[in-house]
Amino acid sequence: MRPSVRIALAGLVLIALAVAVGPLLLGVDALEQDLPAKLAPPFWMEGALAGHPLGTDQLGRDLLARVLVGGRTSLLVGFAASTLACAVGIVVGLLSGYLGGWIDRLIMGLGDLWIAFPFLVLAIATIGVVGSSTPVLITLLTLAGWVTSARVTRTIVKQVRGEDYVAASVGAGAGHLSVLTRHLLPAVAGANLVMWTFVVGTMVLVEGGLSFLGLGVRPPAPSWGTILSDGRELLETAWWIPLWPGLALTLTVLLVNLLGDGLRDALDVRMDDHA
Amino acid sequence: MTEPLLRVTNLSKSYGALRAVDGVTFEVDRGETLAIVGESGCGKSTLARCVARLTQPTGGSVRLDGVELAPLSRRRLRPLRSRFQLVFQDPSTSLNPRWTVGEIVREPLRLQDVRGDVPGLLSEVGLDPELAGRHPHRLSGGQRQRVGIARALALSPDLLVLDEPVTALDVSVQAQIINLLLRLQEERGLGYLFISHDLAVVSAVAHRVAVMHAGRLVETGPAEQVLGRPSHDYTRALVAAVPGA
Repeated sequence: MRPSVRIALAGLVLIALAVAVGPLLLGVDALEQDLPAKLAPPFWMEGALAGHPLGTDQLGRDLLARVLVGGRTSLLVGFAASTLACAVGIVVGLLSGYLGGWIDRLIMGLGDLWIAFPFLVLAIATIGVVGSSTPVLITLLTLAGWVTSARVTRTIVKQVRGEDYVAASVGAGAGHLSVLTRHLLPAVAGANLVMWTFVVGTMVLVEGGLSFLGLGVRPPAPSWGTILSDGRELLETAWWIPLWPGLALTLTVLLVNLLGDGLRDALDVRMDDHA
Repeated sequence: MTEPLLRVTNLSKSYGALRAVDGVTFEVDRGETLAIVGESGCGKSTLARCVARLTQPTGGSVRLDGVELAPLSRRRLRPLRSRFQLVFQDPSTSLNPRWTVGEIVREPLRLQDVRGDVPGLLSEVGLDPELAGRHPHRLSGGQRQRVGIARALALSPDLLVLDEPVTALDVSVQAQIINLLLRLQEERGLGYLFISHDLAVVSAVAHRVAVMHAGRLVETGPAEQVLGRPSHDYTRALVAAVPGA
């Protein structure tokens, strides 16, 4: 394994552990308000309060606890939605590209239509009817994200299915399933893996946007997106509020991208020679 | 009268109004090479793909050892596939770049669920069995084409459809691959349907030659006769077009 993959994996495991068990070890309630302690700066600044190393927000809630607890929702929604979106996109793209003809045109036409349809309207309507919860958020983000992956997958499949090695496989008796799983799926895996790493970050941000509009995580429960939104109006005076979820988000996306790069190189055998 | 290995009768393939293959009839016997020659776009490759049943012919009959293949579905065809295999023109696109040589040669065995000797196949086509762990991009063009031939031999076919098998190779490598094909034919008694536009290559391998023009066979006969004393105008033009001939 390359060092970059190892660093990325270790970092992501650390982040996952921190948000999973960190709040328990910390023993501070992320929802507890303490108005006299509001807008306390982080520990290295004048006026920092003991027990709030990363400072507090406008309601005096501890930011360390909020970032850790908020990470649970953000990471769950981000990883689950991007993984599901890519999985749906791969299946749809494989079928569309492999079957071709009117099925292909139908699926891609629906995809175009889907992209043109404003996601926010769908989100508002859905959440208005069924209410907001983590599974609903994951489903909505999956619906919003599958088209890109489906398009990329379809394009690669269209190209690869015409290759002679697929013909050779059919000529030796391969059925459709064998061609799809043995030749086409591995051919689209690399591109989708790289795309997945980008989508994770986007999904975490979109979840934040939805929460900001009151469509996502309900206050006072935190997510990185809600903390970012909370801090927006106070950026000039209390810049540390959006700093921590921003850093956590950046670090996560960076590590996922590092992981994606490493995995793509590991999957692409043609890179062997240059390594 | 015994049935020939391959008997193609009145084979046709149309794409809309275009008749890529138009009523083609020929036979190939065991141990015999029939070369199909013609210029680019004359329908040679479509013919090869129809015989290898990678495309469904629009009409006509393809009988292998008396068994009719043309109308069979993909599923019904599957167990018969081991009898005929295709060797492709460009070995850089006919081998999955993600697979090792061993995986590539083993694929037909896995698909047909039969046992086979991959190192033995590699040796038979003149490759070091050690190469089984390599990916195709680490091999030379000639080595890649040998892998393609080893894959085609894996199921012990009776007929090989060779679609321009040496066209993508350097001239020096061409001779080696041709010698390999001649040796394999002798040892295994294979029938070859050899598609080519290169008359020098054809004269080295073919027992009989069929000349294809605009989807039809315009002349068929023993190699010396067709290439030496062509009777059809198109064949004469083709033979005259060879540089230095």
